[in-house]
Amino acid sequence: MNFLESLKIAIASILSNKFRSFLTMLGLIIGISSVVTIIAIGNGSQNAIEDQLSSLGTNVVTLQRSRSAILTSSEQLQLEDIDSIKLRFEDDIIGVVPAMTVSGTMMEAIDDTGISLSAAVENITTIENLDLIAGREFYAQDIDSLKNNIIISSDLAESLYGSAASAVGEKIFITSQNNTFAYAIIGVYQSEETNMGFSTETGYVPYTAIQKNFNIRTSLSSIKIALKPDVDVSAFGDEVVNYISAKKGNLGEEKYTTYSMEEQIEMISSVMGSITLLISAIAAISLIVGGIGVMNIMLVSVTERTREIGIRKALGAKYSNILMQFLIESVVVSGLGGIIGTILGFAFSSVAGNLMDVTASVDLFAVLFATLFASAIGIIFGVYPASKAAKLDPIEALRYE
Amino acid sequence: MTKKTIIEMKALKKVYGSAALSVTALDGIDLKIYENEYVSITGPSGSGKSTLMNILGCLDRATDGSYRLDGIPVEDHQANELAAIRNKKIGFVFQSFNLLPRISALRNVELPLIYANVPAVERKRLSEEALNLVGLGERMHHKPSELSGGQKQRVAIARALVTNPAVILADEPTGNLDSHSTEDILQLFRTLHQQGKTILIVTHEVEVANQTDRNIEIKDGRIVSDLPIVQKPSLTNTPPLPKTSVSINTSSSAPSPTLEVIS
Ligand SMILES: Nc1ncnc2c1ncn2[C@@H]1O[C@H](COP(=O)(O)OP(=O)(O)O)[C@@H](O)[C@H]1O
Ligand SMILES: [Mg+2]
Repeated sequence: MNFLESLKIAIASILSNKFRSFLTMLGLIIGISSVVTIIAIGNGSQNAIEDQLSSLGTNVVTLQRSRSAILTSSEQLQLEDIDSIKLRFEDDIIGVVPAMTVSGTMMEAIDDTGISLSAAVENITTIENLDLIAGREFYAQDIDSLKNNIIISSDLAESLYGSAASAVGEKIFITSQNNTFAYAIIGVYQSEETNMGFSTETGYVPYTAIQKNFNIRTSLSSIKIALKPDVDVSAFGDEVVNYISAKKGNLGEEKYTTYSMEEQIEMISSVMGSITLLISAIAAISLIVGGIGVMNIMLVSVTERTREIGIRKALGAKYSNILMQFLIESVVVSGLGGIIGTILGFAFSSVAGNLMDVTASVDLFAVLFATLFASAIGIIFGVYPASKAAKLDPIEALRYE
Repeated sequence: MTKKTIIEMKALKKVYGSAALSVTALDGIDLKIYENEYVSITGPSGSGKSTLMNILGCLDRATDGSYRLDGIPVEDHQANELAAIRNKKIGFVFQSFNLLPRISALRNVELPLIYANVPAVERKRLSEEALNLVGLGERMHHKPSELSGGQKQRVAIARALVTNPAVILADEPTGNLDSHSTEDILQLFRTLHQQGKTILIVTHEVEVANQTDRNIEIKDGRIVSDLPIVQKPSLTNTPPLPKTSVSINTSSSAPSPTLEVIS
């Protein structure tokens, strides 16, 4: 007897008892749909977090004082360090930006909206991973000439001048520390859609101008180093820490450290990954429970159909024929439960995704795995009832009422 | 004129249970049944009829002795090989019909062919042919629950015929039928016999046994008589007469116009 005949018999048997077949599947449907949903939502949130973090620039290393280190004045990070780092790591670096931020208010804005002025160097849009949509980038002469030029966000440009393009060339007056300066808008970058919560306007001004306007003489809390795409972020971090420690004469004392978005993302990914795995493992237990349900119903089915088995054996069914018949039935029921569960999982995850503001990402691998797992459960929990059926003595089976 | 031997049993024994609690159900059966014979097996309850039928049908194996079915020494075979032998060589007809309730008459008849790996188209053709032969061509798509007892037994007979087996084994085939259907089924067996089939019926009804050509009586697991029955040629093609007029092995006082027992 071929596989197709066994399949036909199995399907006929499933259809002849639809409600019970559905109940059999229910455990697996619940299990599979929750696994699919959890994984989809887990992946979706992970993707969202990674997207947002990487929009902040993945190839950026921030050099700063170690948390517990106490630095003498000569050990502080200084502006000169920027140039020496640039020189030393010329081949790896796109740009080096001192951490220097000043907050102020804009005269143009009706409600005294705050703006923070961030230190800029040449190629700041590349370093900060900004999308320049109007005007131009900072060049070296902007920095060297200490000009009060600014690159602002598209949101601000639109609210003040109607469009990004018309903002370019305009002047914006910003008051900070009781001083008001006019800044010429040379460029506009695309504002990021963010659902990370806080968002303040940021304008980029040459660090030299910030330093002059606000008379900044103090040391730097940190230095941001943008790396070329192929540079290994963590290896570079170690190198730059060694370099600066050697330069400051405290090599081996671990007074400086670096952090990067890449490392942050890796950490968050691994945390999210373990959470997803843990919840999935709990959901997988429900699959086992579902499997026991399958076994239970299959055992009932075998008992109920003892006479049928006797008839089939009398007519020439071999051990393998009966085994296959029941095994296929159990696999079909389980696989069907898996497929229905997967479809429901899609539905649940898109609903849950909407509620949680996360784009659920259904992993094809997870879907395939869930369906195969359900079928495997069908085999594992179907073997015992099926072999029980196949082993029945035809005479006893025929006598069964 | 030598006829082919279909069934040959020699000193066949069947003992149930072990030493202390053993029951000897068959105690040395010697039996030969030739091709195209129409045989009945009778005997009181507990005499071993079912046991003999199970062994004949390769559903069970003898404790001792030999059994050749259509030349095959059955005792040498394992369960799976016995399944194949049943499939090819034996057509079963049961007292309780034993049709699968959820599938059509046609699918029921196809069952043994499925296990014989006959391709679907051929399977359907053979099954339709068998159903037509038993006069159920019109109702082949009905489920067993939509058929009368007599019709169910016809489906079962079609299923027994469809593989063209060496022997048809019928265990009390009329036990669940009314007298009208009983006559119908016996007429069908008679017709099949005339077409060359080898048929073996187990029955406790004398009236049924009288319709066959040879009666074997067993008692306490032994054959106590094995006698031919002569059917009057004029009556073989018509439905059997009312039961009251048929008898075997009964006293000569009973009027017996149709049959004679030859000792
Ligand atoms: N499975 C069995 N186990 C033990 N004893 C059995 C079994 N089947 C039948 N017997 C015994 O074998 C004898 C013959 O039984 P059986 O073949 O059923 O007779 P019949 O069909 O003529 O009524 C009886 O004594 C019965 O009790
Ligand atoms: Mg009996």
